[in-house]
Amino acid sequence: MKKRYILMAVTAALVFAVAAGGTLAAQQAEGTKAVVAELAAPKLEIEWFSMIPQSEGDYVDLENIMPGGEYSLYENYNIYNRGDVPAYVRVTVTKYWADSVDGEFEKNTELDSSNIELITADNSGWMQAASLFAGRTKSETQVFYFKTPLQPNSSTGRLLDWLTLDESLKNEYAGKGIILKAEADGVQYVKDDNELNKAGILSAWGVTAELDADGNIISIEN
Amino acid sequence: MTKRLFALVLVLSLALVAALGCYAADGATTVTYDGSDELAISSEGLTGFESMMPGVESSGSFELVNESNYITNFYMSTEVLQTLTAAGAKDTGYTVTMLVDGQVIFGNTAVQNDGTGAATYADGGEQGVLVGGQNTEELKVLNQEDVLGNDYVLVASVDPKSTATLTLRIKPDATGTDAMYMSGNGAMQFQFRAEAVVPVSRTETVYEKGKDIVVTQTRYWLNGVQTGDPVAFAPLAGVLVLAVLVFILAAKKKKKKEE
Repeated sequence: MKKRYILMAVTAALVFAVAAGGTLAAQQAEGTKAVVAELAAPKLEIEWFSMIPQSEGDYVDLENIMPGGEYSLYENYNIYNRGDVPAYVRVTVTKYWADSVDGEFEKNTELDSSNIELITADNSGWMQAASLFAGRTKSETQVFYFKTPLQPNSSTGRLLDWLTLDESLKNEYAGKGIILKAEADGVQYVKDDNELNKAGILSAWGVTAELDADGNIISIEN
Repeated sequence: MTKRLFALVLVLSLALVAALGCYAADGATTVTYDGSDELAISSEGLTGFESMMPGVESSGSFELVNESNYITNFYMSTEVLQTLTAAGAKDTGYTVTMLVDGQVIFGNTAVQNDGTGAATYADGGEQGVLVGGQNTEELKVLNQEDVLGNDYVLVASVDPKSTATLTLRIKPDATGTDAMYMSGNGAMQFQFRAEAVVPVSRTETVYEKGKDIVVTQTRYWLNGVQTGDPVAFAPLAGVLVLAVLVFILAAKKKKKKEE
């Protein structure tokens, strides 16, 4: 008989425990769905816009240009931002003289390309950086920076306005060709974070930029 | 020379460059506890990480809403389903911070104030924890038990009829996250539980020279069962009861046999 009471007591305790467990569960709640954060990195993509000619082998006749003369590069060399984010943009133009061989142009390394000068269009938003080796060597390149961060789905102003030739050119340049190769690249722009912008420019391009409060490039130092 | 023909050949090539830039959208996902056994979650998505740029902090927020009459503990499990992935991209790191109402719950707390009002931090001077890097699973390092893990962890105790804001911040490393990461994708998953801290009234009787003084104390019931399934306890007790009943029947049968 005593055993029976003990067992009944144990049973009662367990029933109570079940009830307590039910009470406990009632004070807890669980989300029925998970929340997912999609992580994504944006796309930075720039392209040449409205320019001619576009491929190697295309050429422009400069029949009438003379030493000291100039040629209008009216062909709209623009950069277009087709990415998701604003970007600083620069273009490095490499220029050199070439010989025409069987209709193809081959680089002539003996001729001085520094007597070819590319001029940016006024008020186009472009600025030319000082040559890294200015005064010490004859540079083949000219580097142009677009001063304002280029917003997505917008284009820069016209990059090049004129090509001029030094008036001291001698006969050794007669019949030669001029090759221009242009390469554009960009670096991320972050609003209101000029320290990061300057660090990005330094890291990607190896130059020190001075920026105004809006992130526009004021000057570039090599 | 002047009458000779010049040919100007233009060869244009385009190199695209590395970079990314972003601003966190501030649309918090709401997690609401109303005393029932189901949390109301306003959205299956957490925004703010759709445009992660190197060196730039992206953030997303949860609003933890307690509509019940009890203080409620909110628990969250975090799992990185996929680190930011793109073809050829590897070895970058991320600085990760979690805060509730501005208080760091995952990251580094300020170690000193230099008098300028700017807090400074140990571990590289960042408020967040740097995870990932070379030869790692990058952001998936968060899944490791000794980092953050996937278990439910207590993130906030919210007063009745109050709200707390849980913020997650992630900053890809400025130099490690190079152009290869452009247009990369990843995903993190969050799940929530909540538990009311139920006040328990207990009556104590104190005897004092022939008369009874009744003292009623109110205490909070702290369950601390955040990582297990709370309902699992009831079936277990049921099985035990069944076992006892079987035992009683067996005892009765044995007694009858003996009689």
